[in-house]
Amino acid sequence: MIDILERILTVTNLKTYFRTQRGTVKAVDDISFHLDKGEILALVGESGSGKSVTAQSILGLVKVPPAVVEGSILFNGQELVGLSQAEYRKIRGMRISMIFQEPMSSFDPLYTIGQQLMEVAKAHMPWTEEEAKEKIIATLKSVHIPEPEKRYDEYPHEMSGGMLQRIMIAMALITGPEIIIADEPTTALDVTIQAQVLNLMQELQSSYNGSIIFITHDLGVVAEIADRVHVMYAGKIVEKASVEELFNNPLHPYTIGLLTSRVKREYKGLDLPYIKGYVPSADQFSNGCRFSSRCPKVRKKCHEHLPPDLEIAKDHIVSCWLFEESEDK
Amino acid sequence: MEGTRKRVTESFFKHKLGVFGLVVLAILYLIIIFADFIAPYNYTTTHRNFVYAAPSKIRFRDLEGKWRGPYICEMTKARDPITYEVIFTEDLNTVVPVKFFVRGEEYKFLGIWTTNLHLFGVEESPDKAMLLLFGADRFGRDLFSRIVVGGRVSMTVGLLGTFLSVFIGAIIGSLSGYYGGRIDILIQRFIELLRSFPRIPLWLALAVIVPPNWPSTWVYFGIVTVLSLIGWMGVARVMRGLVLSLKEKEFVLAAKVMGVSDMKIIRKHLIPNTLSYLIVVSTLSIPGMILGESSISFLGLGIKEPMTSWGLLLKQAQSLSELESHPWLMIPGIFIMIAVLSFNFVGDALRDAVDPYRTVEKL
Amino acid sequence: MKILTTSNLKKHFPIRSGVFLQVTGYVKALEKVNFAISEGETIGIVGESGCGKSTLGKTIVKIYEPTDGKITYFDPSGQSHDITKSLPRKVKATFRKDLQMIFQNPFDSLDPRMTVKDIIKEPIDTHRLFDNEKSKDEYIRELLNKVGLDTEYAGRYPHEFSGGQRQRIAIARSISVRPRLLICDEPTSALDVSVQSQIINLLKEIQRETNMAFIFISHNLDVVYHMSDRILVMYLGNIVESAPSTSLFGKPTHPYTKALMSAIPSWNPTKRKLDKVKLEGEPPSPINPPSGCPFHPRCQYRLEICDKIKPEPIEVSEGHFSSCHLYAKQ
Repeated sequence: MIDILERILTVTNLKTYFRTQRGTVKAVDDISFHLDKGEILALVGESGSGKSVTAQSILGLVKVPPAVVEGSILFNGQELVGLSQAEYRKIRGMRISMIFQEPMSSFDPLYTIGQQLMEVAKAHMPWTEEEAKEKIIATLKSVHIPEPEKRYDEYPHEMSGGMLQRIMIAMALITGPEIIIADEPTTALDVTIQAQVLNLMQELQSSYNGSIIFITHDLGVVAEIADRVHVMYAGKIVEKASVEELFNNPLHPYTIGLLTSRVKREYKGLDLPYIKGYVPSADQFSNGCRFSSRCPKVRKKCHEHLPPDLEIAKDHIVSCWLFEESEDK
Repeated sequence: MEGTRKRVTESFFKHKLGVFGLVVLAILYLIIIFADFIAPYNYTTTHRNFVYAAPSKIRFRDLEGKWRGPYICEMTKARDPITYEVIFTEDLNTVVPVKFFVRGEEYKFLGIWTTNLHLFGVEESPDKAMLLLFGADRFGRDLFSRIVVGGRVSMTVGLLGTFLSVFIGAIIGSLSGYYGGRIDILIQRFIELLRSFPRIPLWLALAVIVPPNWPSTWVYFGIVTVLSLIGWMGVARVMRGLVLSLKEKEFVLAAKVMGVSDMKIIRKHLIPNTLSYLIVVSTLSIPGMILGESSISFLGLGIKEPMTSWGLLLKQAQSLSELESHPWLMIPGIFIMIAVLSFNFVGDALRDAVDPYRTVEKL
Repeated sequence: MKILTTSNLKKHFPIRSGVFLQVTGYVKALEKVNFAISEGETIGIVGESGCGKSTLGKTIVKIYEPTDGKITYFDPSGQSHDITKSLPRKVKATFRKDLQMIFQNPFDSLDPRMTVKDIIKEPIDTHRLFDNEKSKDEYIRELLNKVGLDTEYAGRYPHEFSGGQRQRIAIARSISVRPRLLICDEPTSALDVSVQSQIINLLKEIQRETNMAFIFISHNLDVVYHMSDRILVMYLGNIVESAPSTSLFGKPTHPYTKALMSAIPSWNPTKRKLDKVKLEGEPPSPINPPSGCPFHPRCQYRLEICDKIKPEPIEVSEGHFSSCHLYAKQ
């Protein structure tokens, strides 16, 4: 019996373009994906891959105009593209909330942790002051903040980075959101703290049964936390798969490159495998596959035409000409 | 770097007020460069017949309504027999045409060629008729000519003073920031001490040191020095802050590790990277300098007669009764205002262009 | 041949406040650090943020003045110089040529107002390596080639390059004076994943060709392992474990090293391991470090002695030192 998954977010042909002095920058170019209830979807990519802009587009944080957001973002049946800022405010921070990379700069140093959490709670929930405080302290407890009552009245600078990151998670949880978008939530943290935060997120995800879009550049983190993975490169999704499938059977040359260029113990004394070249800047994208300039298996066609999305196995989609079933094989 | 320059220029020209200010300043500086030529009269020549004369009425049609081009009438001065008030009456039958490029008093054009050509004026003897665009002062001197010439002092004091104070401030500020420690503490406390003193008395105290019998050009430089002796402190503080943040930058550390000498680090890395900020700070501190000179001169301790500046010109407008009977004496104040505002506009535009995140405090 | 040794190196940063900036406390960034580095060797320094690894690098290159201890520098002729307090005039130039540094952030380490050529030229000019412009230009082109950059880039400004390219420029600059010791402070952590290995390979290649010694500072255990012959694990300003890299990874002894290794992601979704990480809490502040062993508040093997006496390094196997009471000989 297949579980009937509840589809909570469906993004179709999303395009987010920015106009700059050098021309249009296609930060996110025609991507489609979905998010089911209770799953953790990882968007993996390097700088300039468009993973953060995707998150900002979903949250309505891209200023339109001057930017252009096209396509469709369906959230529980409601279209988010073209929504007014006033309507967005009812969703953002309440039904979809966000966790940022830099816990230090995400809090206002002038207010206590309690005041800042209270602000979020009051903006979205019909609670009285006492109720809100009770909920806040309960949430702080759930993210394993020791002595939450005491921390409530403390200022951000009195806390360490790992602690603040957990408070930010609490802030994102307080309204009981259906989706949490976490943008590189562990990148600024040390490995041991990263482990703690990842464990916490996994634990909360199962207890709250919310969905998480986890944005990161680190495939190691993805392996630890994600259910499904979308690999992004230069504004496109190049490969979609479940996390096991992606690590066991990566198809796109970029994914393979990312997985092999990891520093492994057995490479000691040898040269590390690497992906040649650099991520192209947004105004230098090729007309064809955007990875073509760095791809070790590039063909003539790759430079000229965008590769189609090919479903190789169930739910394993790769956007690469290598997998095209051609007659001249 | 090319890119930065282009971006800064583009962003500057998008700032409408800034461009407006720049145009006004260009006009003002053109005026003071060609002041002798533009001024219809010598700014020191007194005219007994036109003491406190009001601005001339420029007419175009004579009594019969016939078009005569711009002209003024001859004036006669009389005294009210009861109040002894001076009354000027226009002789409406006379026509003294206002012309471009007229011959008048001799002067040295740009200090080199002796000539008597003026941009505009009347050919009539100044005993009978004077073209007084802004009226005359208590010695019958043409206020317009005096403003034009006075601008030379007012508009350059700011530039020179700022240049000097930025020079001093940049050096002291970068030393303070770069070396830190005891030197820094001393300099900072000294600056705080001086800055906590009210500005005007400090100016006055320093201005008193300038000997009264000095020739006027010396006095001018004396004033510049006085202004910059106080003005450098603000620059030094901004500079210190910039250097403090820059010296932690890895490219400065890298230079240190390479063995580049301190002086060379300051010269090759720190100053070039603060230059754009210094330009902004300079533009924003010019208005203060202009106002400073005006205040000192207004209080009688600055530029002395017969040399003149806008501040000194305003000094005549000190009493209410003077103002009531001769309101045109306020006109130099309008010029100060225009100049100060223009510099502020340009400074703001420059700042927005160079430093979009507002890291430099306004002085 | 030795290049540099430190003994009991200590660096405390004063915290100042008040009108006359009186010292009100100290950030104890380095406590009694001992190590030696010889030509051709790579020492890796690993630890979490705030452990003092960057401070150690900057103290060695004399950006910071040590508070206590001793730094000895051996010039190319093998003569030793005490450079703890200041650089003696006669060795200053050689020292500044012999030790170069690569910084973490390639967006910060190149002067935005200089061209690539001027950037690379700066150390060459400072140490007067060439007296004619032509051979200097030739040498700069050679350097650009060596670090894998197009020679046409010489006239461009740093902002025109990506992070990886900038780090290459920084490497070209630092190797231009042919140093004997290169200190790499997190040289890959600001770079994209796909570019990191390029830079690591480049550094390794340079080392093979020149026999340069490296001090490689990083928070990434795998990268440090790959680069280093010997690894120092730092925690709160102390070296808690120091061992040849294979020995350290083969048999980590200090509880902190073990915890650190357990926190490295598995890269295998079927064998997730982070939930097995036992390390609780976060490193305490270096202003008020714990008494005794700095790690004892978080240590799961804590003994009674641990909060009282700071453990001295104990040789657990050949060349493998661990500062932990667990290994004290009875």
